[in-house]
Amino acid sequence: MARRKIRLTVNGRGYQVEVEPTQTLVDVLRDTLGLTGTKVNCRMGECGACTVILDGRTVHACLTLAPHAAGRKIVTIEGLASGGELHPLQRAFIEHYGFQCGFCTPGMILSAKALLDENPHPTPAEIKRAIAGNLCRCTGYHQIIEAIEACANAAR
Amino acid sequence: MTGVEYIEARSVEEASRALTEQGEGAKLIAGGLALIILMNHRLLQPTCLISIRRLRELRYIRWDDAAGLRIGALTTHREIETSRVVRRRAPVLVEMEGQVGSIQVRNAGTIGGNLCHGDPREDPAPALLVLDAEVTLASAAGARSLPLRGFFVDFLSTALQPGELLTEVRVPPLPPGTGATYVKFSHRNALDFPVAGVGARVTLDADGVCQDARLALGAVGPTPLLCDEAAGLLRGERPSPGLLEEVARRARALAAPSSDVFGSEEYKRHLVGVLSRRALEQAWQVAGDGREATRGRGRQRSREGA
Repeated sequence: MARRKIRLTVNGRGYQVEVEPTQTLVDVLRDTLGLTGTKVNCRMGECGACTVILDGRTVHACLTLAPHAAGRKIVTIEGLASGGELHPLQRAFIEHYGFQCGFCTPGMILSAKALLDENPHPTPAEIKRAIAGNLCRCTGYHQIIEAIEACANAAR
Repeated sequence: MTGVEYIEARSVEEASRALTEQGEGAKLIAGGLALIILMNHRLLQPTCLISIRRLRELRYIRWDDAAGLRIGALTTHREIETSRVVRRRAPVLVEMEGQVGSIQVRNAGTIGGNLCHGDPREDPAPALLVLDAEVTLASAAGARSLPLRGFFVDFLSTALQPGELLTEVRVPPLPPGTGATYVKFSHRNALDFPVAGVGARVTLDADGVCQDARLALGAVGPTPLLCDEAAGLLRGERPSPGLLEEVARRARALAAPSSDVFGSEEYKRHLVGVLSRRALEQAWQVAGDGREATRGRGRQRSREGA
C-alpha cells in the first residue's frame, strides 16, 4: 500500500523506481540504482559524504526523502565525467593530490562543482565556506582547496 | 519501517485535515532536516508522513510597509541568507543564517521546520526574538497570529495545537536607529550547534540614548530565552562598562544551561555573560552607524536643496 512509484532524473537519465515513503535518496541511489559513488556515513547531516546536487543545489542525499526527489534533477559523482573524459575538477583533484582515502571525495567534488557553477572564480575563503559541510577525516584540506583553486584558475 | 502512510498535501487546509485525521503518529515533513535525522536514529517512527514540501504558496520573502518582512514557512535558510530584501530590511538574519549548519543543510532546511522542531540550540530563534518576530499558525479552522516569544513552550515543544501548522514568520519594520546582531560560539566553524548563541537589538534616539533593547539566548535552557529584565536596564541609558556588566550578570542568572559534551554548566553561564556583552556592544555600534549614515544622507540632501 505504502510503496509508491516515482520518477527520478539522475545524471540526465530517467528512472522509474518503487520506494518506501520513508526511504532516503541515498539508499535509492546506492541500493536500487547501483550508483555507489555517493557515500553514506553519518545519516545526520554532519559529514557531507552523501552530498548530491538536486536542481542545482547541494543537499544531503541521506536527509532527502526519496519521494521529495521525484521529478527533480539529480547529479551524482557518476554524472561528472563525459565521453571517457574526467571532469576538470576530477582531474584537478588527481593532479593536486586532493584525496587520500577517497571517502569524502565525491561529496567534496560536488560541493566544489556547485560553487564553481555559481561563482567561477572564488576566493580561498569562499572555497573554504563552500566545502565547510564536507568533512575529510584524512584532513587533506589544503590539497583539496588547491585543487579547486587550480580548476577555477584554469577556467579563466 | 514498512507500511508508513505518505500523504502529499496540496493545501494548508489539506495538511491540517490530514494531521487531525491521522492522529498522534502523523508528522509533517518539509525539508526533513530534523525529522529524518530522528527517523534515521530510530528516535521517532511516524505512522504517517504528511509532506508539505510542494506547497509553493508557503515559499516567499516579501516586504510590506505595514507588516514588515514576511517569510513563508517553507523558505529555506539559504534563500533567507542570500535574499537582497532580507539583507536590506533585517541584515541580522543574513548574518545568522550564514551560521546555520552547512550549505547542504541551508539548501534543504526551512525556517518553519526549524522553528517548529523547537530545539533551543537552533540559531534562528534568538535572532528572530530580538526583532519581535511573529508567526502565523494555521489549521483547517482558520489562522492565528502569535508573537514568537509565546511560541516556545518547552524542550522540543511549541504552542502548535493538534492540526496546526506554522505558515509565516513576520518581522515588523524596525524603528530608525536600530542595530541587531547574532553572536554564536561553537567548537567548530560549521556544522555545529552553538555552545551558546546570543541575539541582541538596540534602538537609539537621535542623541545616541537607548530607547529600546532586546537580548535573547539560545542553547542555554529548554527553550530560547528572552532576557527582558536585563535588556530593560539599557532603556534611557548610554553604554558603559558597568551597565553592560550588570546586564550580562542578569543574563547569566537567567540562563539555565545543562552540562553536556559541549561544556559544563558553569562554562556556558560564563559564556552567556561574555557573549551578551559582546552582542550588545556590536548592536549598539551598528545602531550608531545607522544613525550617522541617516544623518549624513540628511545633510547631503539639505546641501543639495540649498
